[in-house]
Amino acid sequence: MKQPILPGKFKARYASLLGEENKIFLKYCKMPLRKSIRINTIKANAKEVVSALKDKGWELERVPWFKYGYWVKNADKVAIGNSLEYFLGYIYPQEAASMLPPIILNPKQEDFVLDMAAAPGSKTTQLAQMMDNKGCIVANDKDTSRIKALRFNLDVCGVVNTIVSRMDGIWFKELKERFDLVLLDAPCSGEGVIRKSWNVLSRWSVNMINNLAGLQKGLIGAAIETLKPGGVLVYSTCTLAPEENEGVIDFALKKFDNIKVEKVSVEGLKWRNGIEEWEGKSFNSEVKKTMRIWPQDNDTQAFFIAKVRKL
Amino acid sequence: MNRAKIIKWMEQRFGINRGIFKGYAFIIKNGKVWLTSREVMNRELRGIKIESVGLLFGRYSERKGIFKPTTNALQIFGKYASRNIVELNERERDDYLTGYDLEKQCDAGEGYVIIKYKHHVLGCGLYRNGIIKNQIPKARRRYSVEEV
Ligand SMILES: C[S@@+](CC[C@H](N)C(=O)[O-])C[C@H]1O[C@@H](n2cnc3c(N)ncnc32)[C@H](O)[C@@H]1O
Repeated sequence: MKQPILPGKFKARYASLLGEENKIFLKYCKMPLRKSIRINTIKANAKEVVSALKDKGWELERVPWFKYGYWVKNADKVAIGNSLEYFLGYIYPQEAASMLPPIILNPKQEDFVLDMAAAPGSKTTQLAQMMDNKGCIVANDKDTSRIKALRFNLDVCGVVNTIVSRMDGIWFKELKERFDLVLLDAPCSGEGVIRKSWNVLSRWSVNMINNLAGLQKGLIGAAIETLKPGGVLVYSTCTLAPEENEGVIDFALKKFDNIKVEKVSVEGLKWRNGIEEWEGKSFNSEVKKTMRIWPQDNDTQAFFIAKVRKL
Repeated sequence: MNRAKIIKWMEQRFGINRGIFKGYAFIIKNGKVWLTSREVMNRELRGIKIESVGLLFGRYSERKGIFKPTTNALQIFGKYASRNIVELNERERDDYLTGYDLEKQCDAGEGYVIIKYKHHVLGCGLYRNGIIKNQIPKARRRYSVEEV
């Protein structure tokens, strides 16, 4: 099988954090990603769908951290996107680690939720399902063509509790104390999805990481402004770069004295604590409470997740 | 076009009880009908640049006096229908989802019909002179048939 060539800088980058384990990390970066689906309970009866798929020969394995998540072990043989169940909106292809930020946000039916960078809507449609299509979600993105995909996915999944908006997320800073919950699944360097798309590597550079960190700091500030007191923000990225992760949380803790980071735990998932130091710069020790998910830990894409509460 | 007309249309054409739409709100604008919940309409939305609200439920032409439900709407509400339903066999299903029209005698009246396979609502069709004209949006069609 064809394998990606990892840039030398990338290969060396996390050796200081991982030591000997760096080799295993790089090996996982080159392995294709396991395919998974989420059963969309807005339209489907989960039991019925799972048994219909199994009858058709799909080999399914439950994702331990989400009741409706399944790995499709013979995905190369079953053509998920061409299945009747996909057409009907009963299943939605979604990577297993990408199911985590909504789980940690844990929305309730009556909540007013902002999904600040929502397209193409994997997490929005999951949030809608967790809210039983009740309450209200504002699904925002700034990219017109990605919004098209978002609207398509919302319609296929039968989501009615969602408003789609097109704004630069930064402007939510003007809408003070509006939302009960905010998900900021930020635009990022995407190191964590190398396994899905090796193209990511052609754009990867430390310079790009630093530019993105600037954007993310602006967005997290807006997310905190638009959150009601007592509300929760989940900040997530699919990258491992500390500048885009712990560095952004550290920035928020400096800028706002009315937030705190909350410890999270998810059953069935292996994760590591956020790191307190990177390339000679130390972060507020609160960032230890964040979640770092390496590809080798659960054989998924990489993720970073922080749960922040506004006081 | 207004809420009462849409609900009446769904009832007359498909026998869908009007009570089903109780918790929902319709937004009717520029030839399109969007479906959302009443809860959504009560939120503070000032300052948000809205592209769309809820799910695209149907399209209408005031001039031609026609209303057409979307496949996505029928996938949600089709299960409550009692008439103008066309059931397909497996081969017809695959043809329909790939984008073909179907030649088929059925006891539906001319006009929009609900296309079903077993207990699954596939979507919308347009029945006329023994032909079901395919109404599945292009982006939703399948171009090949399942392997397993
Ligand atoms: C990681 S993707 C989001 C994935 C999505 N949450 C999902 O689960 O399907 C990041 C998104 O941020 C959007 N984006 C980039 N800059 C933005 C900004 N300034 N404001 C709002 N959205 C932005 C991109 O268009 C992209 O769709």
